Amino acid sequence: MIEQPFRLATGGLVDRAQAIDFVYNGTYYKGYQGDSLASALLANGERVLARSFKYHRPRGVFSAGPEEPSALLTVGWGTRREPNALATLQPLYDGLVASSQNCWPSPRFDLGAVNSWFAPLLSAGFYYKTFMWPGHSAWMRFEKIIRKAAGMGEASRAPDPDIYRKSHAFCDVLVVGAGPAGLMAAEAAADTGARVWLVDEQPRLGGQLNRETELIDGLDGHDWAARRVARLQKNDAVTVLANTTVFAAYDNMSFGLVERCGVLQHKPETRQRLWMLRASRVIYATGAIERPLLFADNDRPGVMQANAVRSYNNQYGVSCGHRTLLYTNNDSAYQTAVDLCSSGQAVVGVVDVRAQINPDLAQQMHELGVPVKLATAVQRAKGRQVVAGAELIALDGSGAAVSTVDCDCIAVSGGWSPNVQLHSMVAGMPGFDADLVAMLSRQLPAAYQSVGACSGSYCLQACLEQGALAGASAGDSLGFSGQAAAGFSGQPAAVPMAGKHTLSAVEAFWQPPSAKGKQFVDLQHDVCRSDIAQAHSEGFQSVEHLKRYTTLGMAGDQGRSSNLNALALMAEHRGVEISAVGSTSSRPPVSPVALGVFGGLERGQHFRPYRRSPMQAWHDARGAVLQEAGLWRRPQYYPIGGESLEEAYRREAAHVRQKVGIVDVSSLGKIQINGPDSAEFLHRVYVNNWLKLPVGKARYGVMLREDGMVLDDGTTSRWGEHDYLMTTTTANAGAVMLHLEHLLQVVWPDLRVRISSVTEQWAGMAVAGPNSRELLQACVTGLDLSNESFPFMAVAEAQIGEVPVRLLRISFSGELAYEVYAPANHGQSVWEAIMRAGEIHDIMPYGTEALGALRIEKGHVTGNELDGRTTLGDVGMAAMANQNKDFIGRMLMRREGLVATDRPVLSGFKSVDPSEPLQAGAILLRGAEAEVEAEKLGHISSVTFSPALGQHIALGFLQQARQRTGDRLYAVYPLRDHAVEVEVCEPCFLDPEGGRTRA
Amino acid sequence: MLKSYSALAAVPAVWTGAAVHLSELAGLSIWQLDAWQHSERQVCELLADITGLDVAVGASAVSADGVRVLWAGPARYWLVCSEGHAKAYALRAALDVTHGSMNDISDSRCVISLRGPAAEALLQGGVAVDLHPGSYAVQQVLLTALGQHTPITLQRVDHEIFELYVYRSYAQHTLEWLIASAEPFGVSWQTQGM
Repeated sequence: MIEQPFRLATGGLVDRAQAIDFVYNGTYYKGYQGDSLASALLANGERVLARSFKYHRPRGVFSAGPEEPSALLTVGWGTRREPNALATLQPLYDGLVASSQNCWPSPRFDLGAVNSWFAPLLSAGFYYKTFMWPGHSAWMRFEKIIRKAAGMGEASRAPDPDIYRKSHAFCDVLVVGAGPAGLMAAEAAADTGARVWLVDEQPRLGGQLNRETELIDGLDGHDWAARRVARLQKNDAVTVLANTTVFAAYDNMSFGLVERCGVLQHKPETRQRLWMLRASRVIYATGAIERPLLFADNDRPGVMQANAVRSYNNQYGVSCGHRTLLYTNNDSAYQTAVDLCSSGQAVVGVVDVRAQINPDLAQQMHELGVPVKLATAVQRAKGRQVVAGAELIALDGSGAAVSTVDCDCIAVSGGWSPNVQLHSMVAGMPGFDADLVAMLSRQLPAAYQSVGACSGSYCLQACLEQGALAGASAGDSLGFSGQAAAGFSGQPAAVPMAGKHTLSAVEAFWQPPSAKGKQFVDLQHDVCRSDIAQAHSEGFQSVEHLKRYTTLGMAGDQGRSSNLNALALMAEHRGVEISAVGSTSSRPPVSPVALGVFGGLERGQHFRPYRRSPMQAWHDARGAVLQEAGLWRRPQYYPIGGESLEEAYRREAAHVRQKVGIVDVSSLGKIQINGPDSAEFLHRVYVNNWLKLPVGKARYGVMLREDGMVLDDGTTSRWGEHDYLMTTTTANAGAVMLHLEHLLQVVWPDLRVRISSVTEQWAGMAVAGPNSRELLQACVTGLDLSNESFPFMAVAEAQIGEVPVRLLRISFSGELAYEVYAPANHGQSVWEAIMRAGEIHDIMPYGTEALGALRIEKGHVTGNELDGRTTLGDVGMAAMANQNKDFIGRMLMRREGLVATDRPVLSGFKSVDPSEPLQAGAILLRGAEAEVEAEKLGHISSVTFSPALGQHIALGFLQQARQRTGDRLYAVYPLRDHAVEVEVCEPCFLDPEGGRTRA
Repeated sequence: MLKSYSALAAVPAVWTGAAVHLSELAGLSIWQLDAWQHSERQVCELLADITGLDVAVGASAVSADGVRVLWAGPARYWLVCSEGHAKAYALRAALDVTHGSMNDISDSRCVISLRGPAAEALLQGGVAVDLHPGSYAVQQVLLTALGQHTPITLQRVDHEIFELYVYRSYAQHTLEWLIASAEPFGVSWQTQGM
């Protein structure tokens, strides 16, 4: 077998000294360093690379850039395979493995091609009309088959093993596109001293200069570009990124960029990086793409953009065919004939729809021996799998007979479409320019500029001049005056002279002659000219309807090469100008972006922060089972042996009631309140009285939202004349802090009070149980813990092992209990000291599950009860509110609905069968059946097994709860078909007089 | 005295290169000074008197002889010094309650130092503020977030040296994030004193 039979003997920018081995569909091939996957496959004579989306028609390389609609391959293997990779953008590397997709067993012989036989059933919107019989469920069955037959590549179903990263970035001037205009813009902006980012999605910077043969300042264009890039890369103030797509332009000059940094290896350290870039100025130099012309079977492999054929010839040294026919409506395609002839390739002719062309072009073709047929169109491509010829028809009205040309490549140019997707994300929809026969965006905001081909300027000299002017003006507008970065010359580069100008006189040609065979408008989504006609005839004439009904432009290429042809066809059908048809808007992303890059490193252990208690290492070492509480993970229980959750928490809770236990409460919100007006502040925030709390005392408080609902509860202790410490629930710590900050900054800025979160400053631990006093007295110095000296709700500073600690005699468990707060760095050692001192008291750590059991036994409320929907009255604390003062929520808590006597209020519940567990969220009904019309009397909010009572108990809310004490109801949980008979009781199940707490 | 535990003690040493060197600055005292409305100037004057530093209202940061004053929010300053520094206690004694308050928050933060040529790029990966020296000068303090969730206070101590004050409970996660993010550059991590 001849190696690379379509590789030209000389020419191209590839490094022929560096051969590269790669695998395509299980066969080894060779290419060269600098090849794209597409150029290497073409060099090896591979023409049929894929099958089309819907009809499974053979498809090959159409373009040489990011607009490629057909040559979509799967690159890589195993978990690292990437479907729908554009062969035209994928650089070749040693060991690359690529395979065709949407075909079986091969792209040349694909059983899925039977779809073509059913093409009449698969026209636009077929799924709204066909496969609906027999019966309503028919579509559900057919859909699976259709989905399997259609589509693109298939991603790995295994977790993505690649690493993606994200970064923020900032610059003064962002230049999108590193073609001639972009390079000049970047250089001119950098010369002013501005910080510049130059970004291009191709692996080799230079854009069209790498593809064309034009000279700039006497240098080959690609050589000139390489020197410019090298100069920019030496400038510390310039960031140059290849293989990077600006996929989004957001508000406030923010841009989304994806850098394909792993594009050159199978297992890269980083596959892709997301840049979130903010720029002060942006210059779009995004170029333009060549449109196809329509004719029958225009999707055959071998039908390509004229400039792509030129690119493969000039940049890669690859021939796209042995006999190339050019088909055009403008001048630029003639350059393809010139370049192909220069490299010794056969050009069988130029077919031009125009009746007249520039005489110089005609003369040039004559000298090259290339016949030119004017006023002629290609009617159909011949060949079953690849192009084998072209049928031509005269357009002069003479009715001339169809003639046939023998060719294996049809290079097509239907004019140029500026890449204005990014423009339109900030400037709205582009408008049709009849002179250029293209959509243009002319309403860019002041900080944005558009230069070069994307602004409709196709003259190389003009591109260079526009770029230089835009770059300089961008820098100047930001106040830079030529003070370049260190190590950079700082000398503004003169605008170079291009060797010649490329002007493109284009003639609109939208309605080709009809012929047997499909004329594809959108190659990637298999949308044909007949689909446009059908959409029109069925009333889908708006551009938005056209798009959705036919799926035109909705594929990965976003209709870059197809949209204008479709709009023109619809305009013809409607009998209006193209400008009247309008255009769809561009939205991010411009081209597909891997979802993984948006996650970046935020997966697995980095998915979100894991807040650790100062005693976390101790808990981990003791095998604590952790439970998420916001970002915290708190010990839920400490299993002994093979204990279950149930067994462990019952043991722990019982132990606290009988002896002593210790629980980590570091995650409770702690807010330091300082200032002469602190008491007044608390007085206004809490519903109860705070003006007379003495130093050394704590008080329980409840605060409301402005709407009268309970926001949070907790204790606040007074440690000095102007020094308070508020505790909040773990869940509401942030919300309470925000609430208080808002009040101080907006409502009462005159109060001399400052608050700060000290949750992290203090490690908190609650020591609870009958033996807690004796235990703590053994390790605390500087404080008499007797009931007389340190009664319930007393607070004081003391020491444990010389570490200054704060002790609060408060109880959440309903036991004799103390909360100990130690500076966080000493939290673990204080905890360990207490554990050591507690050994003789048989101290036991307990987790949140046991803590929950203890507080439910005592009837204390938490987030389950204070869920934002409850009032003071609902939780039985109405009497706590001081009616002789103002406090936040006072007015609105009196609203009619909030004081209604039939509101469910806090109540206790016991299972009638003590062994039957209850379910939080269960509805309270009179009967066991959850019928729709059943009267809902309330719900269960918290459940536990009470070791003290030896049965399952619950807290909940019940209408007329006090009158129903002793009644029997059902706690019904319809989702699990679960109903338990319960007895209504008081919410405090244990020690309602508080004797244990105050002992 | 019982043992003090670092929040970063569980993170094993790492060496994959020297582009970023991470270390913990242990043994620091952080005192937070809050001024009431209209008394920020008096608090700054007191700070200047006690520390000998040129503390202006709203000044981002000033430091000398191991004592540092950082701007930590509106009418809020941090005095950062070695543990037990006499100036901290002098300041506390001198602060008039009619002007502001002062609290020890030393244990609430972990201070991670980032040194090296890639330190700025590493931080830029998670900080949505321009860290270019032209926008973020030496000494300047930022109150911002690292990644999407972690609130931090960041100071550029020198061109390639940053100090990151992170809430203690977030510290291990933050360090692990920094190490993972720094892999492409090459990173080292070890605990050390100030």
